[in-house]
Amino acid sequence: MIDDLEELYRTRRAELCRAAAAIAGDRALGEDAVQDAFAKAVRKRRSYRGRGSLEAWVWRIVVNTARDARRKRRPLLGLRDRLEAASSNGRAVSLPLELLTERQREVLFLRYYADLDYATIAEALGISSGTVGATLSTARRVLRQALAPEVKS
Amino acid sequence: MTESRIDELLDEQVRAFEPRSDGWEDVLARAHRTSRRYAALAVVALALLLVPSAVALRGQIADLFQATPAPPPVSTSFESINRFADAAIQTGFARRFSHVEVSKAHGVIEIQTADGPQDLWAAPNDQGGLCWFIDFANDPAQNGVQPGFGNCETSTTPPPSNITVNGPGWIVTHPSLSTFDGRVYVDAETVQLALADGSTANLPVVEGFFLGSLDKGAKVTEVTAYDKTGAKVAQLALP
Repeated sequence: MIDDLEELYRTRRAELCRAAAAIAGDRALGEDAVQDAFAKAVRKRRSYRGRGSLEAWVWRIVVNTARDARRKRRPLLGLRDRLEAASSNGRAVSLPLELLTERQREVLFLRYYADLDYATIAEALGISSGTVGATLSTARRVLRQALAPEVKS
Repeated sequence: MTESRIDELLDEQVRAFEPRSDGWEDVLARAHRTSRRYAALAVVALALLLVPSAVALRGQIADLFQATPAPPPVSTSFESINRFADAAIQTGFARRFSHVEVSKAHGVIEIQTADGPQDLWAAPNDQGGLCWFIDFANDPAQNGVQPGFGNCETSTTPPPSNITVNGPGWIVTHPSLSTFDGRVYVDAETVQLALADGSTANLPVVEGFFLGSLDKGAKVTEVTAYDKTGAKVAQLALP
């Protein structure tokens, strides 16, 4: 099973880190969360009971670890703040993610940054595939409405 | 247009990660480091148990399974809390009852007992508090449900002592062990249990929870919480 975990790590690390960084709200914390999550998966591999895919099981650990990292972090500049600070044209626009619920954000991140299918997202977050579809649709609608003035201008 | 703008902004929000050649070695090193740390704790715990004045506590070794997702039988046990809550509301037994966010159920503390590992799982509830579930990991699931016991907070207001406890209590399937668990509502690293026989025992606090397995009949008289500097931060005397 360690071989399977290593294979998953080597093939999916970039997507895992990207989604974890989004959830943790910090690039370094996200990368660290992935390393920690795989270390936990290696240590707790016997608790994987073969129900559902190994990838979804690992994603669930990554999501939980990234959530914990976000809660524990000190109030550093978040990704959004950095984006705005880095903007040189004085017209920084970033996604109004604060308008979304935690679940909507996580579904969006797993879908967009990791390109996970609905079934894997459902397994990773412990919700149904139908809920994934509905949540994703709602999240994008909220963002669309919020961005509408910016797009028109 | 807006859809593509959302995608653009998502791309800007978190840039793609570059490959890292030493990543897997780092994962294995972290896994190994954690194992060694707990092996060292096991030695310390064993040494404490050999001290005559030490305690009726059996081999307490906290195991870092924090954030491990709850397996399906444990999730099903959490779901049963929600079914109970629905039934209580529908029958007029209660107007409000905590509902667990089952998808966020995760491992908090694992200790070793004479009957094998004992786990405490937790998940947030819809009233701003937490629900938790305690089981013996080696107990087989029954009809897909993990046997065990648990509780839910119905308020986010901490008690004046900032400590709540459950137990000691025992269950039919593990009659020789007595579980003692609780919550600390201030930043604490450990709790010290004072037992009626004059002995004491220290337990780690993880995510505000502590979990101990006592000999049946052991009586706890006081729980004191300490922060990472060793300063006392809360205390609860038990009748």
